[in-house]
Amino acid sequence: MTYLNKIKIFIFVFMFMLFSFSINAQWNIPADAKNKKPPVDPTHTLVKTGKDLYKSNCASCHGTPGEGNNIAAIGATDLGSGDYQHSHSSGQTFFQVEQGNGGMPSFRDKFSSDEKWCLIFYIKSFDKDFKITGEELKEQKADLRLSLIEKIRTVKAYATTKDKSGKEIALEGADVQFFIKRMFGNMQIGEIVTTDNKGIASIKIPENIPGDEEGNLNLLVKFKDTDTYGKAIKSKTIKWGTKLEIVNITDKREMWGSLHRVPLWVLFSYLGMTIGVWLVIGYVVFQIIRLKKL
Amino acid sequence: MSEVNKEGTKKTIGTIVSDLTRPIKNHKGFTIWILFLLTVMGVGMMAYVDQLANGLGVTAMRDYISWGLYISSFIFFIATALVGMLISAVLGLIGIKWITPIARIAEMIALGFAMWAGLIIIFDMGRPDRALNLFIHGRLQSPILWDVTVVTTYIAISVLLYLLPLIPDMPFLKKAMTDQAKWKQKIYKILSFGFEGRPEQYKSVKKLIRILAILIIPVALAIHTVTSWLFALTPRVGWDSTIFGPYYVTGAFVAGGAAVMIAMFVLSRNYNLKDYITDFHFDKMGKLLVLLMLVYFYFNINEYIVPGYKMKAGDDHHILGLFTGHYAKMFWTVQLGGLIIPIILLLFRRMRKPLPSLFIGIAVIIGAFFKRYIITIPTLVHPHLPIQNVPEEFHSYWPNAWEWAITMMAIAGAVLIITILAKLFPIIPIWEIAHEEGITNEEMNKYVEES
Repeated sequence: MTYLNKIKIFIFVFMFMLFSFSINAQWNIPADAKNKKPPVDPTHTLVKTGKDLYKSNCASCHGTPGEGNNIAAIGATDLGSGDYQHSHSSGQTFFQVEQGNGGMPSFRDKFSSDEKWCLIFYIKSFDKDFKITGEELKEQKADLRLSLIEKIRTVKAYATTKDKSGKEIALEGADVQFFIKRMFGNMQIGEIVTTDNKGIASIKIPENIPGDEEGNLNLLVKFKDTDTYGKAIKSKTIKWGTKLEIVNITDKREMWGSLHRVPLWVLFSYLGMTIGVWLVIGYVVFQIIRLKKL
Repeated sequence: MSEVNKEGTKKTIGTIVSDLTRPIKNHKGFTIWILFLLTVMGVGMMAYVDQLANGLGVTAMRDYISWGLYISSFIFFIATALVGMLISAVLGLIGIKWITPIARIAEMIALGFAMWAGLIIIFDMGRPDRALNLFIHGRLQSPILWDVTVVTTYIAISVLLYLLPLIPDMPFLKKAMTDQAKWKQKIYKILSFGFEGRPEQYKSVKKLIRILAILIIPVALAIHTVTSWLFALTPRVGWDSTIFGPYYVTGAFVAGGAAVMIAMFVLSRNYNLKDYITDFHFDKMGKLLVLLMLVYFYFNINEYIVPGYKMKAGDDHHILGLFTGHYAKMFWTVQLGGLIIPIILLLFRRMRKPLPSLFIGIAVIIGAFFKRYIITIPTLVHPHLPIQNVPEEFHSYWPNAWEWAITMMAIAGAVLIITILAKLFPIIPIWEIAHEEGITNEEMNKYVEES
């Protein structure tokens, strides 16, 4: 075994020990976390949202206890165990998700508060005593109107909804997404924008987005949370893209072009040489015929 | 011909005319020879008819190796045809005297091989009935169109360069061939174009020969350079070379020089013209061939050592295939037997005598034929993308009986053209020999008028 290999093995063992040690670090959960309550009661929809988040963010370490796969990584807490379920309130699990500890990363910025609560609902649903107590949210009829501010290349989206009396009011706190339609899908512009108290979400359209031949872009605006606000998609053609210049490589006079697009230098070289040589040949033939008269 | 004719005996115009026209009248063995050539061509024609009916699938060519024996023969034919330009134009223009009796032989070879080169391209077409599309839809950017143009032009100039020096011989032929068939005499009359030996006519003929001799040099360089560009303008391994133009041209002179050497021997022995094509001429031709082969050898060194030293990925398979692999036997046989050993042999005076010259010429021309094979086929075996998921026969190539038969038809056809020309017209220009013997135009005219 070479010296280098020895070092490699040493480093590996050291890292492994460090990792296992840190993974098993003790949780230090403040007392007030225990009493933190979710803002709404769990519904099937919220648990389903939580399940989707869990599968893509948590299952790689914690396994999927609801499906008989309790532990995936060494040192990760078995969330499906009665022990864990009974000793942790929703608030404490929320704290753990938010803070992270040792091998468990913090998800404070990764998930919104609502998303975290959905996650907690799902984790809590591993407990056989878990009950769906909330009512499904009714779809809130919402609408979007778009206006453009040419000077600063800004799109304003006005989100409205109707109050109980059917009067149109501004929708505050709704997440709005802006897209430009591309050939095979929609390209999101900037981050998600949350409507302000006037129901306005605005975004600046960057320069240099390729448009069609006239520079037209197809703008699409929709609510992110389609379950809540409906699937309203507003589209508008804006002229802020760069103009597309379609260059057909066979339009120019090139070596790979058709006969009609032969480069002029090839044409003139060919014709010049061929005609020149054949003129001389013609002259010689003419002179041969004239021999008789000499 | 003082420098040429070692015996120093002056010839009269009468002896020259009878010496040079006698072989045309003598038909001993001629019929058998023609029958032999026609038989070879007949077999080839049968193969060609089958190819026409059943398509190119009857050959050994497949998707990857789609340029086979036909194309390599095409280059060989063009190469051999190029010697007409070298001998009658380059050497003639700089005033080399010893080429006088062999210039027409070179021109005959040029004519025969250039004409059949054009036909070989047709043989390589699966649908020759669409050949006209080349002119209707051909692209001026394509070297294939340049090639068609330049081959046609070269044939036209070669015809004229054969015909023009023949015109002043016609009065002698008309006189000497009165005992021959009527149609022959008609040909001589037509081809004399009213030439009667007047000084203005001699002047005009000489001027026109000079114009054509100058014109044919760039055209001949173009024909073989463009032929090399059919290969070199592609990025294929083994063809992607900047020296392909001069490499082909010098190789062409070697092939043509060897062809002239063989023709010199056969014609001078068969026609009993040892007094006109002497050991001196063989010696000179041998020296010329050594020079041409050394230049060609130099290009070979560049063409193989440069990529062989670098062994770029892609080139390596090709080069190793030639040096030590599948094509090594043919490659080294061609390089040693067709180039290096002939160079060494021809350095010795005794090897430049007629008979050794004949054998060396044959070795060189066979080498030249297979050299074109070595240039064309191994590259096609190494495409840029690997050959896969195709039948076994697509992987390799060796010409089958159809291709050999059709190629032999082309060779026999070229030889047939040379034979027919040699049977209709003197192979050595009477008037130029007479001029070199110091016979004046007046004396020649007087001889013609006597009956």
